[in-house]
Amino acid sequence: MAFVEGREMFKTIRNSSRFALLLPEDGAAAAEAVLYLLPVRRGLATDWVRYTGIELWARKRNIAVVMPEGVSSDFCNMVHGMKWWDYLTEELPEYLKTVFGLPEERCFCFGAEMGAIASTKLGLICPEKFAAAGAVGADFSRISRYALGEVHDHDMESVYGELPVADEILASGDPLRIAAECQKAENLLFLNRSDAGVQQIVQACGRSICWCDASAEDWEGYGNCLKEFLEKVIDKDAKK
Amino acid sequence: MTLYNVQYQSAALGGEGEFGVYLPEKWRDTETLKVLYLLHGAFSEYKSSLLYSSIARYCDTRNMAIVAPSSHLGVYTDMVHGEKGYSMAKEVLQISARMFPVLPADPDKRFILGISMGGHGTFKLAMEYPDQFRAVAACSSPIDVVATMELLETGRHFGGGAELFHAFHSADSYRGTPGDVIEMARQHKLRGDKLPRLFLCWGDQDHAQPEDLVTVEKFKALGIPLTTKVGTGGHNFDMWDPLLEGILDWMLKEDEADGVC
Repeated sequence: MAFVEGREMFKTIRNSSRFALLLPEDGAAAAEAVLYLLPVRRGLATDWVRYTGIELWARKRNIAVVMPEGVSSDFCNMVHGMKWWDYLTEELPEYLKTVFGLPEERCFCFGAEMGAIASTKLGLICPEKFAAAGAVGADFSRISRYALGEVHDHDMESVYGELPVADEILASGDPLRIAAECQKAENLLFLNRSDAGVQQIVQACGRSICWCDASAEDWEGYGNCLKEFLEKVIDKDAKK
Repeated sequence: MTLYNVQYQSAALGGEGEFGVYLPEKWRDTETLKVLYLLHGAFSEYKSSLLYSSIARYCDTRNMAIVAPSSHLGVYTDMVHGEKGYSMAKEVLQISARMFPVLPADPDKRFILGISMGGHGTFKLAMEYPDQFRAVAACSSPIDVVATMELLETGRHFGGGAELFHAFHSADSYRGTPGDVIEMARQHKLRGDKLPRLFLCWGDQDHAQPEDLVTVEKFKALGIPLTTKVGTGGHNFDMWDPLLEGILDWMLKEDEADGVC
């Protein structure tokens, strides 16, 4: 497995952003699958590699892993900031395909905390691109509660705008709202029972869920959940 | 420009290998994108050439990517006692192409430049894979390591020491191998093979000057064109950096006429 670290300028975010890759040594085109691992808020591209066993687990499965950074953007097109959703869903995949030959088939995503929200949104909004999406350490009700004025922080104001939050912002940013509106897809969601708001997501999207058994309060938990996702979802998908 | 650091499991080294890749700003213009393999000098690593010179900027303006392997001993040979530095260099050529398919495969867009001992690796690769590169250049380099070892064995070398013996063992043992650049060149000449364009420079106060002058005479005797340039100064980046843009432009020239650059 090769570990690649790089920083590139991207138009959608009007800045450079770092990302890390784990690639088979025969190149990305030889990968059995592609896994996007999404970071915690202000997490670094190297966090997943440092705090979990992903390199060993990826090598065993010959999968390519993409680890972008997302500052505190929630990977949204920010009201006061840059277009991080467009970066994650359009510009970064196109760049990786062109430079590294990263395949577009058999893609999965998994995230922790901020990355969990983004991963769930990817699974709900882009089912044609992601065979399954996993989330751990999320607070799925956070954006709804912000919109109701029940929580506030500076980062959320930058992402979602001041109150009242515009309806189109909620439509694209609130996972509970998105889950209610994206019921038809059949790709898999892998969720953790202890995450805040997870039952609301399940009820809203109306589909069966693959559940993570590990507890997930810190990086040890995130790593254990990721390993479960690999075993229960990606390995099972490979056997089809 | 974008700099990538790549760490990989190197079969050649039996452990972690590392190389850097620079993509120029206009890399999407794949029609004009070229690639330069940059070989650092002895006891160095890939970032050295990038930090101590402006080669990245020079390449950026010419839409030239850089692939720079790291070999800390950097003698570009499969050492008798030590790492398989030449196998590592060849490995990076292959792995970088697989990992970065955006890099051009067309030999007309592929170049090598070596600093000091990196120039030996440059000419060695050029002789072993003459159809894979358009032009190669060496700066203050012991191209003819067989002759270098003869100097060492007879106490006439400027200062190279035990590490060269660990790498090459002796003139006799290196003679006739792929690292015997002069012999490889002679065989190509006999077969009428097309070689990449060849360039060698050194400084007017450079300890590599005597060896490089002898190399020039050997290529002349073989009837193989070798373009040369003498810079101002010694064996360091103060001398090399001012020459690099001219070397890149020479490499990119279309016409075959060669001689003094």
